[in-house]
Amino acid sequence: MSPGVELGVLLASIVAGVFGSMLGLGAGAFFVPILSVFFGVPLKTAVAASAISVIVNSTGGTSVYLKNRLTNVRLALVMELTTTLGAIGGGVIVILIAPTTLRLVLGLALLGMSAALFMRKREAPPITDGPDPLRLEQTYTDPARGEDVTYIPTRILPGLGAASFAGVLSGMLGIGGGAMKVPIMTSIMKVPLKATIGTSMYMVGITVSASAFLYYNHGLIDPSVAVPALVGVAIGSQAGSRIGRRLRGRILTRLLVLLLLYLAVTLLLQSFGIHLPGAK
Amino acid sequence: MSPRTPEPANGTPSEESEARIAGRLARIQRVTLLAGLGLVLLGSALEFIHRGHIGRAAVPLGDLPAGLAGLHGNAVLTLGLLVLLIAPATGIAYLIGALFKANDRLHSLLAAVVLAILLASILFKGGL
Repeated sequence: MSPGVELGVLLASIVAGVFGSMLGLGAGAFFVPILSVFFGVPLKTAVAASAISVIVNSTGGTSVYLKNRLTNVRLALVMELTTTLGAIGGGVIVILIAPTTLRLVLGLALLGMSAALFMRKREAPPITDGPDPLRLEQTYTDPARGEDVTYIPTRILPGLGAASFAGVLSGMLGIGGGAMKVPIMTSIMKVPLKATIGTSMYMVGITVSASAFLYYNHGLIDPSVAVPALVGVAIGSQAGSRIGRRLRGRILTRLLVLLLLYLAVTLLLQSFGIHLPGAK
Repeated sequence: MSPRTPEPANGTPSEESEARIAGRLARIQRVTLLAGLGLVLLGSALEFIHRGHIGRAAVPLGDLPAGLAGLHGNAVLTLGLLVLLIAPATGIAYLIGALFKANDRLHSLLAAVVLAILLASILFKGGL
C-alpha cells in the first residue's frame, strides 16, 4: 500500500473509532466496510485488521468497567464457552469462503445492526431474585443515579445459544460481536444495559482473539493495514466515548444508521457485481 | 501484606476479593497491551528506517526467532501484534489461579476451559 492509502486507512480508522464508540457498536462495524468499499482493501485483510483493533480497544477500555464493577467476569466466562467456539468456526469460514459471499454476509449483518439500532428499546428492570445456579449475581453502583443495582442474569442456555451465533459472526467479520452480544444480554438474559456494555466490552477481546490466530496462521494479517488501523481506532474510540457522553441526539443516531445502511447496500450490490460510483 | 477477609463457603468470592481480582486483571491486561503496542511502534519505526514502509505480510511463527535475532522491523512488529493477540488470554490465565484461590472452583474451571479453547485456536490450522 502507498503511504497515501496508509494515511487514508489511519483517518478512516479514527472516524470509525469515533462512530463505533459513540453508538456502542465497536469500530469494526464501520471500519471493515469503509476499508473495503472506499479503499479497495481486500475484505479478509480488513476483517483481520479489524480483529486486532477490537482486541486493543477491548483490552484498553475494560479497565474502567472492571474498576466500577460494570464487568461481570463470571458471566463473561460462562458466555465465552460458546462464543469462542463460534468465533473459531467463523474464522474457519472466513478462510474457506469466497470474498463475494463474505461481502454478502457483512452487508446483511450491517442491515441487521442498523435495524436494531433504529428500533432500540428502553431496558426492562433487572431480575433481582430467583435461582442463580451459576452464581452470576452482581452488584454495581450506577454512576448516573449513584445507587447500587443488583441483578441476576436469567435464561442462561438460550443466551449461550445466541452467543455462539454472535461468535460465528464475530469470527467471520472481525467486528467483535458487541453489537449482537448487547441485545442478547439485555433482551434474553435481562442484564442491565450498563453492566451489559461493561461485560460485552471485556468479552469482545476474548472472542476476537480466538479467530485472530487463525487469520495470522493463514497470512491474512497485513501490517500495512493493521498498524494504521489499530492506532486510528485507539485514537477514535477515546474521542468517541468523550463526544458520545455529550451528544446523545436521536438525529445523530439516525444519521449513523443511514451511513450503516449505505455501506450495507453498497456491499450487497458489490456482492452481485454492481459497483456504485466512488466505491472500489 | 494486608489481612484478607475469609472467603464465603458457597464459592462466591467476597466483595473485597472480587475487587482485588478485577483490579489485578485490569492491570495485567493493560501491561500486556502496552508491551504489544510498544513493540508494534518500535517495529514500525525500524521498518520505516530500513525499508521506508511497513511490510505487507506478518512474519510466520517459524521465522520469527531468526527475524528477532536480526532485529528486523517486521519481526519486531509481528511479535507486537502477537502480544496484542494474547492479551485477553493472559487475563484468563490470571483468572484461573485468582478464582481458585478465592475458593470459586466453578469459575476457575470455566476460565481454564476458555483458555484451552484459545490455546487450541493458536495451534489450530484446521487442515486448511
